[in-house]
Amino acid sequence: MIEAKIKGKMSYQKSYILELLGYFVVTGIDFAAIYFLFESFPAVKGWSLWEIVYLYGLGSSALAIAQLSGEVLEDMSLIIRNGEFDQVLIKPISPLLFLMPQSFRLDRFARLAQGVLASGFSFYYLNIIFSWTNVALFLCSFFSLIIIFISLFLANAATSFWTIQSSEVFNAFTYGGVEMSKFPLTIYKRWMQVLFLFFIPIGFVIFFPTSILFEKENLLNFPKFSAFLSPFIAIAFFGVIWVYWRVGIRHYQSTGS
Amino acid sequence: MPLIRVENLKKEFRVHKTSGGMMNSVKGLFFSRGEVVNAVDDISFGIEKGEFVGYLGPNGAGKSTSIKMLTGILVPTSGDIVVGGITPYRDRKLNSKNIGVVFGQRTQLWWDLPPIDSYKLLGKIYRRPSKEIQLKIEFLTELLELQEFIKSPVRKLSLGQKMRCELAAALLHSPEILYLDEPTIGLDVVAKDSIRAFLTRLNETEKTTIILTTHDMGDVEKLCKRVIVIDSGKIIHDSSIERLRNRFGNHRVLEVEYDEFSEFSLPENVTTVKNIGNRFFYQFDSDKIKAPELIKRILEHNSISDLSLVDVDIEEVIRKIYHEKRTV
Repeated sequence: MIEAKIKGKMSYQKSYILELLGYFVVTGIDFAAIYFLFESFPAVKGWSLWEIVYLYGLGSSALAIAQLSGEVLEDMSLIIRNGEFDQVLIKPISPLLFLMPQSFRLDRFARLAQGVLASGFSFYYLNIIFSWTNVALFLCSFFSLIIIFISLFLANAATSFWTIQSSEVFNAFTYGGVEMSKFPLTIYKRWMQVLFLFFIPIGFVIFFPTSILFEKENLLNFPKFSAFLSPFIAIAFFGVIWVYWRVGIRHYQSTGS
Repeated sequence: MPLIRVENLKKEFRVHKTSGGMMNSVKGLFFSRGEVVNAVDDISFGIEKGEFVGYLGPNGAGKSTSIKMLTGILVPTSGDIVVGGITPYRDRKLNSKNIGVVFGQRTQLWWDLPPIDSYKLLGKIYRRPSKEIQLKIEFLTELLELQEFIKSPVRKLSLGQKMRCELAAALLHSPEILYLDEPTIGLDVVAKDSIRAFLTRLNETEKTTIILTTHDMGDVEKLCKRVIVIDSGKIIHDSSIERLRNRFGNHRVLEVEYDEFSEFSLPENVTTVKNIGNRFFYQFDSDKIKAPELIKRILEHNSISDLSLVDVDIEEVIRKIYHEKRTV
């Protein structure tokens, strides 16, 4: 399916090359922005510059992977309106398995590279050693974050079964969550902390593993093992959204012929 | 036991009436009062293996909604559907292996890919061995004459070429049942003919059961052996095509052009439909009076310069059925 997607893109050779060029320009500008941001950036609430670069890298690489695998779900209302979803439902395949590979976009690799570079540099400057625990802590937040982002895409898609028009509510959480995740949870107001710890657990899966990784004292009165609860929290979140999606499919009304 | 059995099938839609304005839209989000519309209202029928059924009705009659329930896309509000022993909406994936579907205005091919690549991909989705799919592609390419364009991207194909490719895509996995939703819409006469010829062959030699919705009465006349007419969600007619034709008697129309018309008394069961100058149109029931008899009668009184005999076309019959239903 991914192969087909690339092949399809390749068939517009010229626009394909231009598009690739565009990706690199945009990425370059992004990097410049980070640089200038860091120029004037002091440490925040006991978190140093490179620790914040790590948060940035973690957030954008996880988002890139989530977008590569599920971004097409953002276009669900369009997929329903143009009748494509009818076509999906008459094939012996799960709709997600059919749709998700279409998310594949080469420009997302630029964001991924950017994220990986950012976290790589921060590991280097912070002298993080490659111990089992540290790797586990990193993977805990990385994969949990991917699951949560994909769940948010899915929630957005499921909502279109009712509204037909795209709902921006979950988008706000996805991209708001990415912005939020660039800084440690401790700088935010109480209600924001509660929201991102328990309702949209982006904060949960980033803050605890990262705080343990960087040996921070302030865990908002949570026990240390919370870090390793992250994957379970993420999977539970996905489970709830999955049920919502299933109910949505049953409720699906299609469009006029 | 019919291949397709539909019993007391109903589908209700809730239609939201937003009376405009920001506040009302917001209210609509939380209190979905809405009005219930019965898109399909208690229909029952059975279709045997190998039948070729026309499923007709005016726009918004519930045709597409019925097809979408039969194919497992929509979940019925109530009632039963069993297709080849399977309840489509419950075992959607299992059902989909047994059916092929073509929605006339939609495509199941990948827009940027040549059809041949789409076919290979579909073969994988249906989990068929690639050798079997290869043979099937060759077979369908030959029958539908796809050779010339099977390797060009779909976006570059004409409407007729696209439709032939769609049919091939729907038949790759050798389904027992084929659902067609307006397959000839927008096609020219030649393209229509080639598609009709293919469908007839498919139905006769492969014994594929075909259910067709269309607004094109040519499709119905040339293809369907049975016609189900639906209006406002209810079945208002279900019979063989011959019985449909005969429903209002075996009506035929005789068109006569007189040299000079002089009044005479028409036989019983013959009515003048209209006349334009010296051209007269007589409608008669051929079960009650034979055409030669009528012509003879006319010649006894008048000399004529031209004459032709036409069957009542199916479109007229369908229009009458719709109309009859509305006035009752």
